[in-house]
Parts: sequence; structure tokens; C-alpha cells
Amino acid sequence: MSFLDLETQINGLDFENPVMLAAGILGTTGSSLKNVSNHGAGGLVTKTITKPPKKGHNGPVLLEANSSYLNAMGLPNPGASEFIEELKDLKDIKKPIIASVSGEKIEELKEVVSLLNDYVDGFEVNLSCPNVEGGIICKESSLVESYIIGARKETNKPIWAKLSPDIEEIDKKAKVAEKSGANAIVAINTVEGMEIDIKSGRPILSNKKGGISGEAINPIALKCVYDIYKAVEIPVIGVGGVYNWENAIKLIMAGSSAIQIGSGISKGLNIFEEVKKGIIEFLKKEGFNSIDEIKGISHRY
Amino acid sequence: MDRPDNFRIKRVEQEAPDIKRFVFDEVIDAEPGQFLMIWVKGVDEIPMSPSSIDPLEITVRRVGEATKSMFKLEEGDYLGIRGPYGSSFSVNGEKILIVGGGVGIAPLLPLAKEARDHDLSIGLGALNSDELIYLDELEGYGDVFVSTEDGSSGYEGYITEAIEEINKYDSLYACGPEPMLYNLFKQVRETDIYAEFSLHRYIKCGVGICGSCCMDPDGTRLCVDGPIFSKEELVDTEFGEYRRDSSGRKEYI
Repeated sequence: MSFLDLETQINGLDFENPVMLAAGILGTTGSSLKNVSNHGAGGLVTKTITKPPKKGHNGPVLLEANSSYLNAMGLPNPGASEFIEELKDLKDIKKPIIASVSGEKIEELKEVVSLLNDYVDGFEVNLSCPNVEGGIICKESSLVESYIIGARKETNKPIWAKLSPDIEEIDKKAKVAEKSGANAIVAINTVEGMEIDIKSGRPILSNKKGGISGEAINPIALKCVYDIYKAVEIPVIGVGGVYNWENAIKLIMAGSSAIQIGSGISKGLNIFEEVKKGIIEFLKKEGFNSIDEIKGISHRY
Repeated sequence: MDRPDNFRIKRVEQEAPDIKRFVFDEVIDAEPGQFLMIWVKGVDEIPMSPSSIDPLEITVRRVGEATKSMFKLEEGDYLGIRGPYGSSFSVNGEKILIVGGGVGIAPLLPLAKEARDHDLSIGLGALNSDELIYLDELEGYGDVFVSTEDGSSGYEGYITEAIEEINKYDSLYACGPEPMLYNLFKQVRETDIYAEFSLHRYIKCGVGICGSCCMDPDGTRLCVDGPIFSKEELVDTEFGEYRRDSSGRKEYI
């Protein structure tokens, strides 16, 4: 049997496998992140952290909509200072830990990055949350630029820019992020949507609008990763609707160096092992020696 | 079912000054101890375990924004309900003790009904005699003893002090304030008594992905792995010590 491992390097960080936990999922406490790590994730992205603690929106914050999830959590998090205590819990974990960070203003983002800098291996700047006041930051190229430049002033560690599919010309926004100093692009965040209770006519989410996740958005992620891969030199990390190993392979073929799993966890935490095993078996069966050999191959056609 | 369905309120009964029972037309296929997410339209969505499964009933104490708003609802109004979620009680042994604190007796009612053919004792604690709810129903299921903090009925003090000899029971099932649960946990931890506790944490998504109800030190997701935990599952956990608020900050008990 030939030896095949999934070790992946991104921005100088060693990932024992390219299947990471996505931001926003089970990432609020140290013990929860540890639990996901124990289930085989190759890297961990935390819940998005802001400077002040945030309670998030009132419920409903999540519901099922046509086999997908629709959510508007409202970035609940304990705030950067308190979150440091959670990160201290993770010091024995030898896997890259990436803090998802955001701020209503650039100054807030900078403070968060500066506070967390000693406790994480890199940052994922959430430029794409649909569920907060002010809306999706990455709709404006100028904001992509200033947020990434702002974060870069506070850290020498890798900075990833997480983009939304609900913007014009995602490839150009990715290029702006790259030029501003981002080391990787993460795509995609949830797709904007809403649901209505027909008994009352009332939007179901307390925030009225939210973001759709789940397997249905995998084709949207594929298209975005495909476009971004063509536009930038830095790595692309694919996220969106990974419910099985086939979805993961497709994201890699579209150009992802690694992938993240979010809502797929609703199938059970063993999804990390299942996706890893599926990728390895696929590579062997098709005669490939590493995921590098299939990365971006869709662009040949 | 992970999206709220509309359930029509058939009847509302005042059980105590601050406690109401809502009876619905429709039924939901839940096991005793599982919880539902109750959407009070325009206000919030809160987890709640049914006090009866068929017909579906929930019993609510007026404590916050959502429950305050629920108290204004009447027959013919609708609540959005999704679920059921989480783990359920499992009846074990012959001599069974059920202990409820305040409105914590609610999720134990379907269990008491299920266990009524066993040698069942039920302890119910409340602030005062007005708040001792469902006594008649419980007396139909087993031997009931009560306590009130003001001494207006039964033992004066906590229900945990009113249990005469816990070692005579094969199993214990409890729901109520966490200090009460933790006291019972300590009483049975070193014994052979089988014990299950219904815990409360901040539940938001209900499907195990948002992480708001995660417990230390294993990251156990209460909405998926709980809310019913055996005593073994609670050894060396945050239980009895702290939980987390809506933002994820620790809140000491």
C-alpha cells in the first residue's frame, strides 16, 4: 500500500490535514474547539471575536429552510479579553489556531488582532458576515483594503480574508485583499436569505434576514473559489456546503488549498474523519499522490 | 423538524400566580425529557421541555421577556414550535425517586406518567404552597412528598433535605435549579443509584452547530448530548460550578 498523507502547508503553517473547522461553528469556548480537534480537524478557526462581548440576536437565530440552514446569530462572542482565557486552554493543541476577527470600525478590528496576537497562529478577518449592523464589509473594495491593511499593522502572522458570495466581482475583491497584505482568501461565508412564517407573514429570524448554509450552497462556493483562484497568487481556502468528501474534492479541484466545514457538523462530528478518509481513498483510487495534484485541475478545461 | 411549525393554543391554565400551562391542539412526537424550541413571535425563541406529550402541553414560569409575552397569549393564538431535540430520560430500576424543584417538575411529568407502574416516589419543592403545581396528577402516579421554603406546606426548607433515605432507591431523576441538582448529584455520586439530571444551558440553534450550550471540559453540546445527563457524564464537569451567558462568558452558579 502506498503511503499517502494529507499534510498541507499554508502560509508557513503546518496542517496535518486540510480539513478545518469553519468560523462560527462550535468555536466560542476552548473546550469546544478542543473537542473538534479531537474529532480530527486539521486546523481550527474560532467564532468571530469582537472587542466588546456580544449577546447576539434574540431567537429564532437558526432554522431549516429547504434542507439548508438559515441563520442570523449576530456574532455572539465573549469579547477579545475574555476569549484569551479560552485560547489559553488550547496551548497543548499542536494544530494551527486561527482567530476569526471583526470590528464595527477598523480601530476595533485592530484592537482585537493586537489583543489576540500572542495566542493564535493567524487571523481570518470576517469581512462577510451578513448578520450585523453595517452589513457585509467586503461589498466595498475600499473597506477590504483598509480592514486588511489595519489588521496587518497589528500582526506579522498570516491574515486570511473571508469573503461573501453576495458581492459584485468576488475575484476583484480577493485581488484587493491580496494587494493589501492578505496571505490567503477564505470563500465563502453564508449566502443572504430570509424565511417567512405564512401564518403571520412575519420573517422568522428575529434579525429578519440571515445567511444560508448547508450542502445547497456548495455549487456557489465552487464558483467563487474557481473565480478567485484565477485572480490571485495566494492560497484559497474553500468553505461552503461540505457535507461529504465529494464536496471537499470539488472545492480542491476548483482551486482550494484546504477546506473548512461548518454546517456539515450537524451530521455529526465524525464528518472530519469521513471527509479525510474519503479524500485519501479517492486520491489512491484515481492514482494521485497528494491533493496538490488535483488542486485547481478544473481550470484545465 | 428544524423549522418552527405553528401550534394553536387550545387552552391556557393558570397553575400558580406566575406559572401557566399551555395546551395545544397538535401533538409532537417527543420522548420524556427532550426539549422543543418555542418561538414567541416578535420576541424570542426559548427551549422548553413539554409537561405533557399527548396532548402537547408546556408549563411556563414568567421569568423573562419571552415568557412575559407568552403570558398574554390565549386560546386560538399560535406559537412556533420546532423539535424535539436532545436526549431523553430512561426508566431504570424498580424503586424510583423523581425530584422536581419549582417549575422544574414540568419535564418530569411525562416521565412520572411513564414510570407510574413502578414503586415511584416524587419529591416536589417550591417557594411556597401556591407554587406547588401538579400535585393531583403526581399523586396519581406515585407517593408524593413536598417542601416549601416558607414552610406553608410540607417540609420547611429545600426538597433535597426532605428526602429521608436516598439509598433505598434504585434510581433518581431530577430537574430544577442547578444548586438543587448538584446537591442531589453529590448525594448519589458515590452510590450505586442510577441517576439522570435535566440541565439547563443557553441554547440557541438546537442542532449542535452554534456552540452556545457547550459544556466544559469536553465541549459536550447540551442540545445534542443532553439535556438529560447521567451522573457519570457529569463527573468532573462545569456542572454545579458555572455555565455561560448568551455571549459565552462564564457565569458562576
